[in-house]
Amino acid sequence: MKDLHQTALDYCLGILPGHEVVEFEALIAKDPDATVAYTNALDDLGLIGQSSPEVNLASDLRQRILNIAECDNSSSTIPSALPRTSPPFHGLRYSGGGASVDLLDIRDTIKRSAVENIYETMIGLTPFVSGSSAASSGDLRELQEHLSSIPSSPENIPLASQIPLQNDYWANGKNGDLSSFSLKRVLLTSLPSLNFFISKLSSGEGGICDVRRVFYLCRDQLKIMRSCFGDLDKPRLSKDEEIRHHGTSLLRSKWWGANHTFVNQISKASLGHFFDGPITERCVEYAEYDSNVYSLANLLATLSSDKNFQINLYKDKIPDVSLAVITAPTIDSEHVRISQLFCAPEEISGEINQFSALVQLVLESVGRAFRFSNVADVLDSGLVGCERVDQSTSLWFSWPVILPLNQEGALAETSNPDS
Amino acid sequence: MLENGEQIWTRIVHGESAALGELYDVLGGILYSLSFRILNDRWESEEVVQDVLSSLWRKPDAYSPKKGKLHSWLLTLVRNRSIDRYRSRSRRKDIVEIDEVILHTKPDLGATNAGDEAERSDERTALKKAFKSLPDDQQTILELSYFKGLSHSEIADATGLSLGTVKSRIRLGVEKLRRILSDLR
Repeated sequence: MKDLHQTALDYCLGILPGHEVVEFEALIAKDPDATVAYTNALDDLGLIGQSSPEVNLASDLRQRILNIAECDNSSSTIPSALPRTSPPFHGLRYSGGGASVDLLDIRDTIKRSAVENIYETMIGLTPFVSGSSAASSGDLRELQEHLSSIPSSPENIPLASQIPLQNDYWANGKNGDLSSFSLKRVLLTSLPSLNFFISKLSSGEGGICDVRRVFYLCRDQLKIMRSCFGDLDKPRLSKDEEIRHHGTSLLRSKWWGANHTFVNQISKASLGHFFDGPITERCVEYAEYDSNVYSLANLLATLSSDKNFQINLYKDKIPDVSLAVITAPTIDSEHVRISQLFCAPEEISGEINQFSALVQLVLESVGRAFRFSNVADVLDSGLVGCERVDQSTSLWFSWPVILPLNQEGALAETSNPDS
Repeated sequence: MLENGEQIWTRIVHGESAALGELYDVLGGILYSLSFRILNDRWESEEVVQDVLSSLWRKPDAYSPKKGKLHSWLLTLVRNRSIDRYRSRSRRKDIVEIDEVILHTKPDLGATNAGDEAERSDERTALKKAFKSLPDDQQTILELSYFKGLSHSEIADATGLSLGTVKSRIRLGVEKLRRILSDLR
């Protein structure tokens, strides 16, 4: 081995070759000289690190970090109605992309151009809310100028309510009209909250935390849109289709203490149990997973009785399945209202509204992920569900776990939404 | 700097949330500034700091006082995670042009806050002065190695220096920094 100080520096800089890492770590454990060399190298490199120019911190970051200590990492939110065995599928793991249709599949040209306009607007907005934008450091002038120059946000919820979900989709399988699901997914998942925060910033009421929220929502909206419409932006979609694991930390970052809204009220997200590790293998899959989280969060953000909801992520509660559970306190009548949405479609009374559309989106997605042929089987499986726990409502959906053998490839991080 | 790191860590091990707040108050800005210098992206830097402090809270046994000072350990963790992200970003965008790397090693002064740049900490000010007092070639090599995560051979390729010279300049730079700082103190 080279001289100890050089080795220790290389080790701390992460450039020591793999076999020497093992050798050096063994040496640190038994040789006091190696331990001293290592701690000296850490201190020396720390000096360089501290020479960085100071940058002002977002005022809410401290509270967000302190929320770490408030996370309830117990398993108290695990629904009792979960299946105890693996879903009856043992083929290739689903890794997203199954929701994709072409824009031309939207027969109504007004709705088709609305989708294109939303996408172009969000692409244009991205540089103004990125982590290197002036707005991210608190100077909102350029962002507000840009927002005032674009047409007002599309009224996505009224637009979405004009789109009937084709109940024959399940009966006809792939011959059914998937474009109605794609349209609803694009209009009803991340977009309502995104529109709210854009409006807030446009009106001059927003701050850095709203810019951050718009950044994350914008990134997700773009990815969800690309995953829904294969011909919307082929070059970026091809990047989204590459193997790149997405860990739970991505969800943690964007949901941690985030305000969220769908209609009527703004609620705050908190995090409960979060396992560490990958949840999806590709961006297109992550977009679909994300849209399921948004769907359930939209429901509970709206109906929570105290304007709070909690997100929990588990693995190993059901073999080969990862589980997302979203919980919020609700009054009894609201719980009944929500639980009715989780009945089979033919049992839902009245017109399909935006709330039931959110549940349908999750059922459709989970059904595809586990290769179910109809919605009743998805509900019967318990892989998606709703349960009353004390004075709270818990909603959940399941997703195929990434098996250790598949855990290769690069790891996705926060990036510009258009990258 | 963090004088009572071991005590704070012990309190974190015992689940005392106030200790995490104290740690953030002393080190949050330093960790964030380091990550920002590497990534030049506020949201990514926030994520790195969140991830590192959250890991320490959830798995405090990953650190032990045998591993050196807590703040040095955390700085290394933040630096290495930021470098991983930087490399991943470069891979995705296919931009690993060394010229660009050198260009970006200059701090983004436009993003710094003039108020925060005031001499909040004597020690940090001394460190910045010490770093600036290094010869230009030594600064560049330390920046490429520490802030951009380049390997010795990548630096050698970029600068035209031999591998041995790169290694010795990194070592000498670090030693000189330590010496200047101890003189300044």
